[in-house]
Amino acid sequence: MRSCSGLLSLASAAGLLLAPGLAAAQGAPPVRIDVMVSYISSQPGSVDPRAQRLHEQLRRDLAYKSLRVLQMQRMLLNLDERRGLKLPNGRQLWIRPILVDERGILAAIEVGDYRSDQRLYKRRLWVYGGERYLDGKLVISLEPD
Amino acid sequence: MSGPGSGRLRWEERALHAYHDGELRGLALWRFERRLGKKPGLARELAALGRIREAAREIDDRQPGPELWERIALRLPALDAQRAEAATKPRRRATLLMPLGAAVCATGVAIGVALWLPTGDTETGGAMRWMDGGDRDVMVLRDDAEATIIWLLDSGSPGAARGGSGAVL
Repeated sequence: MRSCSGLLSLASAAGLLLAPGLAAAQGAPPVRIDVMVSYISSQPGSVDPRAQRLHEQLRRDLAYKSLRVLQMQRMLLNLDERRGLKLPNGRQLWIRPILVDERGILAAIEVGDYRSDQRLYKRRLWVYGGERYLDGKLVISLEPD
Repeated sequence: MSGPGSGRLRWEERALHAYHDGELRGLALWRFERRLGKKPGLARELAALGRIREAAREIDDRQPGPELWERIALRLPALDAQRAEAATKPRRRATLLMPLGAAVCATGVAIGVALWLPTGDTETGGAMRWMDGGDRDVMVLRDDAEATIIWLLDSGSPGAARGGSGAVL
């Protein structure tokens, strides 16, 4: 019995020592990433005002006549938490924050077969596009908050 | 090749040139003139030597005129220029290649830093750390301070994404 109580006290002491570290890890604020899924097409149409900033960046490099926002979501992710978002074309977007600092987030990003590690800067759009959707292309834009 | 007559031929040849130059005396002179009377071939060789001497004398007598020196003087700058060009050509190639090599090295280093060094990024640095497009072609359209745009290319139209052709859609 003495040995059992000794082990218990050792375990509780270890728990007391480890608890603050675990609490700090668990208590780290989640990472916020704004995700917007849009659709650009050569069909004449309008540009969704919610995607005006995206449009200003895209039109420098791509030719299209309409831009429509399909999904908007703010993801709250813990470090190393892998979260998915189903895209309108059936593929899945996966995001996993690896590192957070004052400049932004280093994150693992996957879309279908595409895999990458990207630095997502604050106030800077990260865009992945080109997935076929209807008669146009899907555009996924991410921005850490 | 040194047969029994070869020593005689060498003596004849030496004696021919000596006779032609007026250097033979005494018995050697008598002996050569006797042989010369008997051998018409030797007399023809002596005559040929005489013609060569006359021709050489004519050449010696021609003095270069002033126009020759003028022509040479006119050619000198061109020759100098050719020589200078030949001397600088390898250097010029080197000087052309050096910036190119430096640019290639700098680009390689920049790509390496941008792609593989997570600690090397800055506020305006590239977003890309690494990327695998799988079986599909992926292009980084832009990676600057305002946006990073990564675009999946349609197969068979790798250049279609850029520009205002509208081919991307």
